[in-house]
Amino acid sequence: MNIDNPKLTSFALGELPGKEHASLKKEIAGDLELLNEIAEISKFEGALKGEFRNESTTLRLDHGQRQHLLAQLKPGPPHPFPAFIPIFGVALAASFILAAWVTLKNSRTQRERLSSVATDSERIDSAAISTPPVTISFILNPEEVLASSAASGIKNQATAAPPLEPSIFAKPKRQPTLPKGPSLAKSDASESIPELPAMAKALSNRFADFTENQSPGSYSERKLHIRDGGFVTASDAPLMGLPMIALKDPSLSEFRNALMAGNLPKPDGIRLDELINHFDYRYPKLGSDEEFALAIEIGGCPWADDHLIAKVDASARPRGNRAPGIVAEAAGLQVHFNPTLVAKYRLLGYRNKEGKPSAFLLSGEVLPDQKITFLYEIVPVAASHIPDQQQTERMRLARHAAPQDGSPPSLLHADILFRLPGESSLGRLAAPAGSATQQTASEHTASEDLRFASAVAAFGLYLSGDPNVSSLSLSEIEKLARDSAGENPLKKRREFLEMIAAFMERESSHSEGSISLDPR
Amino acid sequence: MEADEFTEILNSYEGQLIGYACTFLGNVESAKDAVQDTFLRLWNHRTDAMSVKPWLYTTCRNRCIDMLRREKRILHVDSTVLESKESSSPRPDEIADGNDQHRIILNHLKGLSQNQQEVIRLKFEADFSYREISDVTGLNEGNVGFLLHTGLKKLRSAMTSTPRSSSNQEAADL
Repeated sequence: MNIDNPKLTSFALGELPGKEHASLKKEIAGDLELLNEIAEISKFEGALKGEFRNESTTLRLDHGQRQHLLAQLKPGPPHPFPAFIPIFGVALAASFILAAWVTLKNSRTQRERLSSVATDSERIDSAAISTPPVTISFILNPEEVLASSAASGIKNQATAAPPLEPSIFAKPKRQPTLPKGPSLAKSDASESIPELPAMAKALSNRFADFTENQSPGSYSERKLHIRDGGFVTASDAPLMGLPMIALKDPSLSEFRNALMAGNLPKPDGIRLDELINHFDYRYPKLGSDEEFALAIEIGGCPWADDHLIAKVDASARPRGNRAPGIVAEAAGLQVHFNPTLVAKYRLLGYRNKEGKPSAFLLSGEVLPDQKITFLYEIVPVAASHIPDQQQTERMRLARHAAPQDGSPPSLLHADILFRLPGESSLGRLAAPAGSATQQTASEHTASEDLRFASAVAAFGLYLSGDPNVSSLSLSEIEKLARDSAGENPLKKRREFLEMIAAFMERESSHSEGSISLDPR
Repeated sequence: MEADEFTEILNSYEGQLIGYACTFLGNVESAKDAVQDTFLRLWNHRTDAMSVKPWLYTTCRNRCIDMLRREKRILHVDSTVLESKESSSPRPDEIADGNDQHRIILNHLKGLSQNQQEVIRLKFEADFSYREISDVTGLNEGNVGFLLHTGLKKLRSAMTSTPRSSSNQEAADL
């Protein structure tokens, strides 16, 4: 028996069949080298198992992933029955029961009505009354059906409406609990569930239909790894994929009307991404041969002195500029964070929708002249706050991240990947280097666009009760927006300034007797 | 399978499966995605007759291969993207434990071929027999034995030549 014979390993691991094991055992009995080898393998096996055990205790799903999993553990029909079968069954049963109930009620009502006016000579045999056909339309929310089916709550299922995507017009089911923010209403907020104006309701239906990305994959693959209030640790997930989607553009005036009517969106109901992208910015210019343009700007964060705001702008080639037709069949951004400089980051808006660390997400067809702005809040690395072992890890990563030309390292960089019609491979465009360094980041040197976008974000976060913006008062947000809107603000920016001003006025006029959550 | 049992299985196997998925995907975040999806599928198949552990590993393996296949559809046209992703995303042994003494062997594990790493994990972490490894991977038992033998040889050899952890070496480099 040679020491390099795989059977020796199989023997040491107890994997040889009985006879073969006994035979080999006899063969190696007097061979010290083989016996020593077997002992070494066994010893190594123990060490290896120990290391795997240690490793597995430290590897855990993210909190959000675990919560999502555990949320599935509610009573419901398991596979292999497709979800629509029980839903359909419940819907069918509900329809029959409700139809029967309505029929019976109609029949009884008619009988009662007829009997109350009937004279002896006019008495009608109630059995002879023909019941008019009843048509019932069902719009069922499958989740509610499943959740309530266990409790046999059929009557509510028949009128359950399909769930709406959160929108900036989202109707609050209950009043949000804000650590600090605008007042809600004069009356007791716990009892008053304000209704949105009818127009805003209609718009919420219309504008909540968010454009989905076309990338394949299940829900679980699209989720955003939310940690620490929406912040993602850069060393855990240095890469984020974003589809180049076309956002809805809801009307700001209706948003304003809803606010002025005393309504607040629920905390997760603000579509910050839509709000930010409602306004026009100065987008980067396209090169003559480019399909897209991409730019990054870093500036100070108005609500946290030690944080930064990164604004990533992408725009597609306008129609008529070169060949006609569609710009690209699909496109997506990749934003790479430098974990040696960025401790954490969060994408403002797109909650649980699009952004996904360590992923490639491509949108569907890109429209000519399509523009999109992504705003990130960045927590730069503060050396004193990082444990030694993480420092070592960051230094290791720094070797990969340092620019070769000696220029200051960027906090982040971004690429657009896109596929043109008729082409099988992807094109790639990188944002200009050097624009995203911390040296350029200062609240004073930041462009008006970045500061205005930050003000818009601050207002949205303020309304949603985000604790990170609790350092800002409404008047400070208004000043930030006014100072950055430009000397002659365009219409949308003017509307925004007017909206904040009106909202502030309403807040101050309602301050007495209201639940004021803003101490300033 | 009831919710309690599912939660117990989740707690028992999530760490092992993330490490296993990382063998294919090369980074922890993607591995977690694959494992989360694996457990979602387990819950959806909870009434099926199955041996849970082999089922988990087989499903996780298939999910990883699906993810790789999907990513490669995009990545093969731009290898620099893949490189940047691989270089910047931590592997389990890089984030698992700051104590170098607890990851001496695992630091060398990544020097092995992917199928060597896989069978070593299945043997020593999942505690599968050659037959079970064969069922999960599709390799025949002879191949499993050979891969284990050569993989262990290589690991032990690496350990002998660099008795201290590579992390210490990295620190020295810095």
